[in-house]
Amino acid sequence: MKIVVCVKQVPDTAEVKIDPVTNNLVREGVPGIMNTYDEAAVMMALQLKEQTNGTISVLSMGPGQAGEELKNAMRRGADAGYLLCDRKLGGADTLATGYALAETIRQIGYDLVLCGNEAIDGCTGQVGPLIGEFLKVPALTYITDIKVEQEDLFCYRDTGKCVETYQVKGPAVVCISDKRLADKPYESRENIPEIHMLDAAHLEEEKIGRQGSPTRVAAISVKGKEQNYLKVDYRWDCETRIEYIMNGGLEKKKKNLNRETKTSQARLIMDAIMKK
Amino acid sequence: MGQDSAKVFRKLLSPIQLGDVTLKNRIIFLAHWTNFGNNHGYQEDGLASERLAMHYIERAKGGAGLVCVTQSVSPGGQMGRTMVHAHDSRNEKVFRFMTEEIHKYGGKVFGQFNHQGHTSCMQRPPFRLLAPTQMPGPHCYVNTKEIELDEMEEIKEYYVKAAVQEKEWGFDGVELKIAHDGLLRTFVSPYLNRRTDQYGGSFENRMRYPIEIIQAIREKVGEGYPIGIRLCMDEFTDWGYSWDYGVRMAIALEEAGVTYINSDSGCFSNYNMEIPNNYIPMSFGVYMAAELKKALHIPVVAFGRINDPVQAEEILADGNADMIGMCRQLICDPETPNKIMEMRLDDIRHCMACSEGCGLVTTQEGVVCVQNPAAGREKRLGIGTLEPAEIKKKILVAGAGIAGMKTAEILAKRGHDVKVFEKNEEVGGQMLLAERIPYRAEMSEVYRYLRVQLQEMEVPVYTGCELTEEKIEELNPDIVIAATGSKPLMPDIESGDVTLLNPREAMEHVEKVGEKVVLIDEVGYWQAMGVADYIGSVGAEVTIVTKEYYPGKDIEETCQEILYKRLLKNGGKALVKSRLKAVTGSTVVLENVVTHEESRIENVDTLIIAGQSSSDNELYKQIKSKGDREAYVVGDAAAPGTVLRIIFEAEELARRL
Ligand SMILES: Cc1cc2nc3c(=O)[nH]c(=O)nc-3n(C[C@H](O)[C@H](O)[C@H](O)COP(=O)(O)OP(=O)(O)OC[C@H]3O[C@@H](n4cnc5c(N)ncnc54)[C@H](O)[C@@H]3O)c2cc1C
Ligand SMILES: Cc1cc2nc3c(=O)[nH]c(=O)nc-3n(C[C@H](O)[C@H](O)[C@H](O)COP(=O)(O)O)c2cc1C
Ligand code: SF4
Repeated sequence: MKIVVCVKQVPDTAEVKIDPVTNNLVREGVPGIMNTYDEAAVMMALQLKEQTNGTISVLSMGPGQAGEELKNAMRRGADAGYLLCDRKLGGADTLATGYALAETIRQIGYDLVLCGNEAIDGCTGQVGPLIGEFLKVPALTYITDIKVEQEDLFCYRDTGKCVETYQVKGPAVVCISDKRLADKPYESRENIPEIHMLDAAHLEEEKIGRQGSPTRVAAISVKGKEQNYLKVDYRWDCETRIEYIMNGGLEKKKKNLNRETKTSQARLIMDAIMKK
Repeated sequence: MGQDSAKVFRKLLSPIQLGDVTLKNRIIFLAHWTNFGNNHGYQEDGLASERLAMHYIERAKGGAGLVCVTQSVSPGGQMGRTMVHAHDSRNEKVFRFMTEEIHKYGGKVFGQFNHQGHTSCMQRPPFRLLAPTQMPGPHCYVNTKEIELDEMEEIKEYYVKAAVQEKEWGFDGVELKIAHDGLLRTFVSPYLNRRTDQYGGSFENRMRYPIEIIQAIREKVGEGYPIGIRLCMDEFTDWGYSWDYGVRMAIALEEAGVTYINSDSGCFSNYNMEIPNNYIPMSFGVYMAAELKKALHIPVVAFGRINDPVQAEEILADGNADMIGMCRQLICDPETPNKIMEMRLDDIRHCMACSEGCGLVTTQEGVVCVQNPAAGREKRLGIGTLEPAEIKKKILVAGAGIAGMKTAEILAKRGHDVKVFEKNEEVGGQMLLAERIPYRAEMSEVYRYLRVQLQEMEVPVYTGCELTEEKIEELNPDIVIAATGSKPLMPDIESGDVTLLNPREAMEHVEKVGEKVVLIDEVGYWQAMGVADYIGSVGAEVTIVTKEYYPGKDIEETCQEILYKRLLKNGGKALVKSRLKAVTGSTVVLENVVTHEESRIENVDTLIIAGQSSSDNELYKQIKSKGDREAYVVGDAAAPGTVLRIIFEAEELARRL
């Protein structure tokens, strides 16, 4: 089985720093580590490699120093490391990242893609599922264990309340959520292969980097302890209580889509097409 | 799946003790007014009917642990003319039959008693309304009589008589309603009770009357007989109490010896929180049960938009309640508990909180359900009434909207050889648009459920495949069902510089909708107000125009209210008693239907005309006119309508063939 594991280097700090202007994470000056969930995915890959006589390729997208995490994975037993490193990739959101990784994985070749369930710095949990979308293969999230039986994968999905079992045939993306796997002991190898350096030449330019990234983080706020039901304060006035219940405990959301006006781009383009 | 349901739903499927009574599981069919009583005029009304009995028996058959039956006490205590009287001994025969049947299925049955107090849903109630203090219920205009002590005594005796005789008839317990609108809630409510005698003024005084009734019943029915309370925890009005007061009352009731508390909220002044529609999140009421659990020792029921076993198990496993109240979920799918026990989770048909079928009770109609044609028609269509077809036929269905899918489901269940053709890539028909309206995503349950049924029976559904006359010739079926839907009708008008759209185009291509929109409501339904909400939510400024006194006239009342609020909050307007006259340039000209006065809206980008649809029945006519095989038409293709009618019609058709 040919396994590709995606790993990300994340800042080694619990404190989230955000550039107040761009709303992006500030990474300068903070030492990097491998995202804990990705580390768990690497350990899962090692187990599967042993069982299936497979090979492991690790893939990371990021600046040169992210190569450290690829080396780390190869010391544990991964067979090859690929670093996707290009200035054009900078400022990517999860959509652009998912696209870039998926296209690269397609080139490397794969039977199974493993990802961390989420990154401990961004916590979106979107990249794995997006890779699945771009590759047009099933993506499974919150997986804590994988068993291989003949051609099939049995994936165990922990919802926090029960464990669902999925039987999967053929290539798939599986996102690992059991952090404890990362702490498993391993034997460290000394001689590891060179990292394959890749640039963005195989990717469509408008789909990568800042250009390919429609997401804007509107705001971030710190939340209290989670609860399994809405907590409604009896002292709030009636309207507040109801508003709060109706919004599922959230502040009011508002979204605006781009629609047509007489002078909008969409209208001008449509008119031009109609005239042809 | 082979998994053991008792392990997965450990709490939900475990028994619980209420006084001397053991429930086999934690699922309660919550009390609800059905309008299934008989009415032959005052004092000749409130009579239990077979229809009523069958409705409740069906839920016990489906596996519910407990069934609560809404009833009124005292001749003037009815909220509607067909609400069944608990005190009337003429109901003995039907109720004995009902309790016996319920027991056969291992279920238990409690009577829920209520005196309407200041609330009547009747236009002109034949009797006076009663309240602790003279004032109309804040939701209506009919004034009340201040209840006197001897009247209170008389009503109390009706409560006791009802409890005692129903125990005799086989009921397992009684639940008193201090919830919604009813005499007892008006007594406990600090706003509605302004009395200065021993029944008002202080907390103890306000609780006195309900507690006297509880004690009087307790004396007659004995220690172990369950007396529960349906308790309004939060009135959800500007003037009303909040849940802290609800908890305080519950503690007092526990001390008075009640067996369990069944949480509830809202009142007729805020009907949305009483029968929460799709705008209110699922499980919204759990916090009230959780607060009760912290304060009480007796069992607590959670309620409100609980329609799924995993959700229910979670509430119980987290310790937030001891029992799960389901009203509409069991109206929609009475077999929910049995399906849970058999681990047939995908087969559960979830209530989508539309209140469009069951909500008809406020118009004095009987309970029905948009998705379940058997609700209120249990005897004819209920569990176990589907007969296998005498002659198995080869049937082709054109269209996998809900009409086609429902017909195919029932036909296949009866053993016919069915194939479904859908020209779109996806099944669902217009529901694929309806579900895009904000907060209406649960509408997709209609086709999700049907899709799963067809899949499980391995009925082929060919998507991206139009059924044509040629294909029919080729496949040579015995019967063709045309469920081919409808098309929106647009008037032939000069639209000037304004983009003219029908509601389906607006839902599908929201990018074509401009900033300033006029929407003409000629259907009074979701195609108008729902579409206005969608485009308003993504930033368009909408003026909705109607010939009626208000837009969305035909929408269920709680949804209607929320839609109207959302329209105004999104900066929209409603122009009533008006119609479209003309469009000149980018100006839309309207006229008042009474005064013919003109009004103009300038700089309009888009005009949406939400008018009638016309049936798409070409295929049906072709096959029918050829006359060489049977053809039937169903759903919008027969007459454009709503899911409620279409699902029923499909079931009826499929049972005939
Ligand atoms: C925006 C909107 C909101 C609505 N909201 C509600 C609501 O809240 N509640 C409610 O009750 N109703 C609502 N309705 C109405 C409801 O959706 C329709 O009445 C109902 O879906 C009609 O179902 P149907 O199966 O008869 O027709 P359709 O849903 O129109 O399905 C017909 C299907 O047949 C297919 N078809 C046609 N010809 C062929 C052929 N020759 N071969 C193969 N396939 C063919 C079509 O592609 C289509 O999928 C709403 C409608 C709209 C547009
Ligand atoms: C048609 C209808 C009638 C109702 N009548 C009563 C009633 O008589 N007594 C009562 O306690 N609750 C009544 N209710 C409220 C329900 O018991 C329940 O609290 C509410 O529907 C929310 O729960 P659900 O989401 O499980 O339906 C009624 C609800 C409906 C839909
Ligand atoms: S009519 Fe709607 S709300 Fe009522 S039970 Fe059926 S699906 Fe639920």
